[in-house]
Amino acid sequence: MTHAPYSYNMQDSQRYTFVSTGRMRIIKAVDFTPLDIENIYNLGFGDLLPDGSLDVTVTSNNGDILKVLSTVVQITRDFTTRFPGVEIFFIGSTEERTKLYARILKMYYREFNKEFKISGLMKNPDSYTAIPFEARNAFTYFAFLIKKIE
Amino acid sequence: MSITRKKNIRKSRKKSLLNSSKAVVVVNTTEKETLFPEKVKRANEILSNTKFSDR
Repeated sequence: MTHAPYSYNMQDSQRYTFVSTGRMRIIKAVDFTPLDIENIYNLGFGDLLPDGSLDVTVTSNNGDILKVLSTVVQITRDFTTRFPGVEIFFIGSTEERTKLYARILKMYYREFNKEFKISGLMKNPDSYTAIPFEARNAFTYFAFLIKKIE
Repeated sequence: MSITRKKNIRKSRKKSLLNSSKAVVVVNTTEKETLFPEKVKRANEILSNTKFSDR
């Protein structure tokens, strides 16, 4: 991504924080959690609220969305470099947020494709299918999986 | 009782407690509480119902 990321702190091997300094100062948390399928981690991302709780649905409108997402990409790059072989699952907390992720993947596909194997999850009537991501179909996917190419 | 003697008794009790089966504490160092439990639950539900075309 062309936007320079924010600098971030690694709280522990699976948790990172950084500060978005757009219109307001907002602390963001990025968390990688192992899922039931071996070597697949969930990417959780949200705003750390003043009371210590997290909001995953908030639209901060802090004027720096591309810089924030560039930071999340950089953090994901760091995590998958330190733990080669893991796959990262992510989905937006809302349909709109998933579409935003799809737009970023589509926009920077050429760059990401060199570094990550990207899959998209298609929603069937009663199940899902993970297939190789194609930029032209970016908005048809329900969720995403990425794995660093070794 | 001297301070040294008291300290030795405390040490001995601590040792015995550590060796006792009642004192066994299992610490899981690889898993911790997620910041996003609902998202993790949803992710597991989705993936348990996902077919992988390339596996």
